[in-house]
Amino acid sequence: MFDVLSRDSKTKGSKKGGGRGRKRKDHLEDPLTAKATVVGAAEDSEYAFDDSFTPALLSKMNDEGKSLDDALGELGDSPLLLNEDSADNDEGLHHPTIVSYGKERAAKGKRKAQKRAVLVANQKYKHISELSTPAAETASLAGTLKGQGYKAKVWNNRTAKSMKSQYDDMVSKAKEGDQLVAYFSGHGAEDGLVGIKYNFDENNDMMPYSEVSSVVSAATAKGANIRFIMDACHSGTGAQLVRSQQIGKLAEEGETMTGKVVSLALGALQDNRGELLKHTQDRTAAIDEAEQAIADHQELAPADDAPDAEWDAWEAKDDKLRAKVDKIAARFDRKAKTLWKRMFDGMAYVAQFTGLDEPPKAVADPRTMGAQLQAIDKMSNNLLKWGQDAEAEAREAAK
Amino acid sequence: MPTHTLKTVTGLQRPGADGYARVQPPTDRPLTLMAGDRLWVQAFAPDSHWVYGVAASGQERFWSLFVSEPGSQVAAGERFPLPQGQDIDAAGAGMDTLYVLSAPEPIAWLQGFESQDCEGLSGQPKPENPTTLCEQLHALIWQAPARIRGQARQTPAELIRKRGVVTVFGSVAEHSGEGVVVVQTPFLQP
Repeated sequence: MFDVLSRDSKTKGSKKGGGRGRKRKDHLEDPLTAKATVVGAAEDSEYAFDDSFTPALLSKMNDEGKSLDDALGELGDSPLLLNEDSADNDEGLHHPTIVSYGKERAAKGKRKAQKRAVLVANQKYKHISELSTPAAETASLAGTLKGQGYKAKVWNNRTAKSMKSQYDDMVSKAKEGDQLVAYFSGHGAEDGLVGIKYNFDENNDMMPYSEVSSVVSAATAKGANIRFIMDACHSGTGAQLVRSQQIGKLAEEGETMTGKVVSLALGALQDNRGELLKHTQDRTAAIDEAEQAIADHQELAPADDAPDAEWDAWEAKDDKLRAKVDKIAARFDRKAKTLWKRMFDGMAYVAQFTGLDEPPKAVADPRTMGAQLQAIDKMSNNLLKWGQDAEAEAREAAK
Repeated sequence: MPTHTLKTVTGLQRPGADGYARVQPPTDRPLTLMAGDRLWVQAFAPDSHWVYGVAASGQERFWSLFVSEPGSQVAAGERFPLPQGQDIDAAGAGMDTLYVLSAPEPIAWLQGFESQDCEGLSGQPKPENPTTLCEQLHALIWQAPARIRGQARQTPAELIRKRGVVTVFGSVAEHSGEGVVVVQTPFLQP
């Protein structure tokens, strides 16, 4: 499929290039870009854990001798599981997600590319629970990067403002062809990476994922290659933001047949993704409400020395409320399977047609749909790369 | 070695004008521990097991909270309160983690353990072959189920119930394994 579309796209691209000289010329003035890789340790709907993603990354780099890019790529391919017997997210199942775009850029002339890394480890928080391993894991990763020639600087326990400032500082010093690593280890929220003064009630002290994206694009705009690695809950949202920006760009600017067809397929995949994510959010909201009812009922518990009859009535209601949680969960989980069954056939067809991996048929964790989101992300990444490559090829041919 | 499960329910009572009152554990964050609080831990472990409670503050200070010898359970193989409610003194209020360990044999390095300062181990990597007391204590981080890096809802609180005497709602921690099994309950500081 790809070869055929590529040939079509070249023809189409050349024709367009000849017919719209002015626009084509602007289009050909390729802005300074470089390679960007953004990685989240868990999908949007998932938790990440201490002692999981970063140790797995280190193991691939240190024990298996893999490069940082290869190690990240492999981690984005399969789930991570803390507890081998478990198949749900509370017990440690999570799916790292990765997105890459652009081409590796080398330093110009005789200048030697610099390798710099800024690593943030947020372990001690003022208003939310402490974590146990970010400091140790970050120190280990910094050591490994230093061994690979990086000038690596670790910042422990920072606010969002301070984190952003350190990442920005690294980017501001970067030059064309430099290799940058921005790394974060700590609590993550659905909207961004969490600083040490964060309070769940106020949603303050947070580095939004849009700022992650802006750090990445600022680096590539200078021609510096960057990897932004986030080992935090929900950090796949950051990777997805960058992915959707690239998909949007392809849809808007794509001029080749491949680019246009791929954009359509990507649009359908993103619709599926949105639907799955909404399902998990609806499930969480419904369960939260039912669990809150249990907590509210606990407030009404009788006094310690109340008569047995009073306690019996209270316990019967408590049992009923707990049963309701199970019932809601079962209903959503059945719906999750139906939802995926509908999407699976279409995705399996695309996989077969394009030679990509078939998505997993079974829903491992219906609460997060993490495996399904990861499968959509992998397919989206491949299609996106095809579309972008076709566009780049057409631009080269037109030159 | 056979696999066993350790489950704990941890709750608090707080002193008020009318005596101690139960503290409702929040569903979206850990319990906040204050000086003067009374800590309740109910452990579910095989009745042939030793059960230990170790408090930690910032990966640097550790102290023993309780030890239960085999057979001290209230009902064989079932639940037993450990200890019978314990007041947390000002030093205890600095506790940010409660580790509970259960094992079929006495844990040699915890026998006679009272307290230990382990400055310098905070943020250090997992000790591969822990030998010193501090290394053993530091290694608990990796023996307990890993912490979640975000806002996780707690399992709905269960009841530590001794009808007619005391009623406390608690946070649940659970882990299975062979030999020494460890669970951890985090606390927030006021």
